[in-house]
Amino acid sequence: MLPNPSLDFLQQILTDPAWSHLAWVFRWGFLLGFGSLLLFFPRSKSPVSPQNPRRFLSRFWAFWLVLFLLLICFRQAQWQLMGRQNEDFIAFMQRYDRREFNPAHRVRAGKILDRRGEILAYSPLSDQVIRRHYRFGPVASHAIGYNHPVYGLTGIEAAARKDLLGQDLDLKDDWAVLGAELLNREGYAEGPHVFTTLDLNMQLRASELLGDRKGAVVVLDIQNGAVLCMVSHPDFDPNRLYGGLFSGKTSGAPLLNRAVAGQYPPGSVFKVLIAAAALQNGFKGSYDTPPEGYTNSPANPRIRDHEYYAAKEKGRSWRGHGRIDLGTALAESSNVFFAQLGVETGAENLLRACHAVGLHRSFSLWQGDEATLTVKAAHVPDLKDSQPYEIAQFSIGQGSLLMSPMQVAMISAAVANKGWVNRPSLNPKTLGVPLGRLCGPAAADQLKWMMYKVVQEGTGRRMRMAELPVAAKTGTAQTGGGQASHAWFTGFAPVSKPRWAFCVLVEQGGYGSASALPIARDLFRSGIKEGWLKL
Amino acid sequence: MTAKKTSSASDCASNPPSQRLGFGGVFLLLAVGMLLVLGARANAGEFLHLSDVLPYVFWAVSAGILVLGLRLASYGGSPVLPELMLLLSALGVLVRSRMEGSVEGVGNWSLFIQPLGFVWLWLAWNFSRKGRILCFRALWPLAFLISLAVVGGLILLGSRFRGAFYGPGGLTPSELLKLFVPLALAGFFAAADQKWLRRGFWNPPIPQSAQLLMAWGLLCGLLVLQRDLGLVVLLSFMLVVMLISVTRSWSWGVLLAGAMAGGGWLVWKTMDHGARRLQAWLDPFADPTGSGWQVLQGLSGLYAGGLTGTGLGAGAPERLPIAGSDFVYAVYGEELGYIGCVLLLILFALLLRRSAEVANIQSSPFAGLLATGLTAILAVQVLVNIAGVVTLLPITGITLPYISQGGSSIWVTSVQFGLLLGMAEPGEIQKKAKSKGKSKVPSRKKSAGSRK
Repeated sequence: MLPNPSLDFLQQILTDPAWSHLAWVFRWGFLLGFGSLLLFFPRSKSPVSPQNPRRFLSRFWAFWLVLFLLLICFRQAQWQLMGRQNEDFIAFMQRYDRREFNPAHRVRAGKILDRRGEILAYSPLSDQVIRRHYRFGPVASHAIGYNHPVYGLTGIEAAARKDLLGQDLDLKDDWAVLGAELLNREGYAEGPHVFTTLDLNMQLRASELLGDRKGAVVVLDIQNGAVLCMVSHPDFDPNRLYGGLFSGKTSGAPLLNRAVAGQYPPGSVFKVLIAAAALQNGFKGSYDTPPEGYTNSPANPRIRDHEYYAAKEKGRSWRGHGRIDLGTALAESSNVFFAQLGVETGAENLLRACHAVGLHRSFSLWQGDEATLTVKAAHVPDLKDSQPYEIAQFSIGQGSLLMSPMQVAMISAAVANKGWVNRPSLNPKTLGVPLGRLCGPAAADQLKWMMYKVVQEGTGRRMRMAELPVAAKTGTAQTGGGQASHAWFTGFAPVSKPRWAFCVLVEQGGYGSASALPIARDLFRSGIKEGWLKL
Repeated sequence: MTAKKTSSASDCASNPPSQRLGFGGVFLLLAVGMLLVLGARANAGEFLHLSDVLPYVFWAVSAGILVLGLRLASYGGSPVLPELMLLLSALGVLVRSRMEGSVEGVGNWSLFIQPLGFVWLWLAWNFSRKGRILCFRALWPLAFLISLAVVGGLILLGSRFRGAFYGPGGLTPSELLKLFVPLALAGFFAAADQKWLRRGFWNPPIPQSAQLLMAWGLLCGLLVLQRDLGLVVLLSFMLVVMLISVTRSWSWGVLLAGAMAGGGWLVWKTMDHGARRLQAWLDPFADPTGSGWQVLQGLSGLYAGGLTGTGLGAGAPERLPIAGSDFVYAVYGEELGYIGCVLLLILFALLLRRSAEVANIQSSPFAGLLATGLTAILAVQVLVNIAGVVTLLPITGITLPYISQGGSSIWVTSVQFGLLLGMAEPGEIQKKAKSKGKSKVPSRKKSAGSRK
């Protein structure tokens, strides 16, 4: 390779502040020089004069040439100079052109607001160029997305693009208003603002609580499926995007929205769905939970309770929970119990419950023109009654089952909502769309109080708060490969008249009750104390 | 003979003041453009290296040598012709360096495309000047066979990419047809030009027309197999222009109209990608993110540029997919604005006028028809390419000569320019050829006399 030295002197001259003025002179100088060269060239006479008897190209061709060139000039002027009178064209540039210096962008995208009207994103004007600004930087960056001249659009910015610009390719009337403002140069027309279901206070607090840990926090409104809070860490600052983010070299994949696109083994939080399926199936009995655990053949490792391992670690022995019912099993999160329960309930009932919650399909949190904010379909193994060990693993949320925090929150919301599953949405205009039914009201009510028992006397005891009775379930999902477990915590509150369903995930956070639970507790506690969560 | 030589030399000597100024202006323009492009790049946070300046330096050095070569060998043709060619070439270097971003490394071979083009130009000029072009007069069957071999070989051996055939190394050998087909046609017509004279579309010379029809059907059939419709349009238009020129009958224009209507209908009915392009032309907004995307992105760039443009280097050609070849005019228009575009169109008009003048000063039918064909090719390329970008015509995949990216296109255009430069100075050999041809075609001499 040949040496390629840098040109420092040229760099210095060209980046000098004076250059910006000089460049302006040069720009005009270039056009003027070009023009004067063209004026000057035809003057020099050809030394050879035509003496032949025939013209090979008659003047008639010149007529056609000039005519065609004029046609080109005219057609080009229609686009280049008078393009703003073509509504289709302006609409196209608004939606798909990324040149920020394009005058068509004088129509500013509207503001994005949270549910109370707090501004999350807006378009200030500086130096004649409109840039998108995100007031809270990385907070809610995955939900709002970004609108960047180089990196494009994602999130609500992409999904609600039409609404934010106040136009629709089919609705030209709106364009007539904006186009008139544009033509009259009355400042910079702005599209209408767009409300979201997000609660800024909750978003800020949840983001703060999650801190540097990787994970996600989701809070849903149980009545209608509104997403009140969706935090995914690590996050990114949409005001400061850089190429490295997109090259995949950044550690922690900050662009990944873990809340909807992350795929994790749910661990014990999945027992809520198993319990719902069993109750719906009419389960009323109990199981013995010996310390030897559950297995169907010596080839498969035994599924045991965590107390067994805790005791073993301390050099003691554990006698098992004994014969327990579903409520106690959920409170103690007994793997041995749920393994047997799942096998008895059967593959068909379990898969039906998964389908009822909509685990098998992906959907968008904001149904717009572009596929964005998509909740990924969970990876649900193909269960068969002939393979009971697979079902047993599935029933404790392990094996090849993978799902996102949003889907876990949906299960809790369904239990709280008499079994009905609402489709989560960030768009306040599309709330309360039913997805399916997890279980009947009786089963849901039973399960609700069982989850309350988890907080009162089970693994979620630390969630007990005088001001807010919570029903919940902890989870500690083994990840394999010798890494720390994922910590889960999901539930809803208040128990008697449920309003908020939540799910907290801390990647490699260890025990759910130790690292995920405090985030939910502090979130609700400060919400009630500061008054932005009203009972 | 010696007297003639000195007179042509003194012709040149009387020219220099204006000529020197013209070439100097082109170099100055390139320098200003270079500072604008590099300034925009430096202010975008890029660090400038030697390799960023090299495209301009290489161009300036090679163009300077070319000018010097023309001067030393006492080029005696129209001085405007090389000036316009160099100006066009300078604009091409600016726009291309603008799009390619920084050239990676000092030894990158793409730096040498235009300088090598000047070498081909110089060679072609030397092989054709002062009537030497007439040596190629009898080689038209060979030129035709080469054309067929190029197309046939490409179908057999080439690789397909984005709907076109490419030879090894990403070269597009079909560009060579823009050279060999006019050579073949000029020789073919010149061999029997008296038979064609004043024979209109309605009473063509039967044996010659049959030969032509068969050859043309073969060539165009192979090109259609390659799906290179742009080249079919280009060459067919050139054929009609040459037919009109050799017969002096405008009735051949009927052929053009008929071929355009029939071909359009055929494309619409049978060819998938052709129909898509027609659709994108008739209503780009029907599928704005699909078939209309490229056209509309190009137009958005033009609109963003407005009347005066963003300035060289300040546009955003990266927004436009495959901007380098078909849509280079949109990049140019974005950065130099409507004014710059009109100036470019004037430049092309002047160039075409001068190359038509080259055709018209020829006394031999071969050279005249060759210059006619080259002029027609140049005109169709310019008009069809630009009309495609501004949606006056559908996109055809024809490049903009000397502005678009692509070594093959630049080199073939260079050879065409070299031939035109050579024919711009008819010399002794041609005189000889004329006197030789006296016995062959006495009627022309007579008519010349009668006109005087």
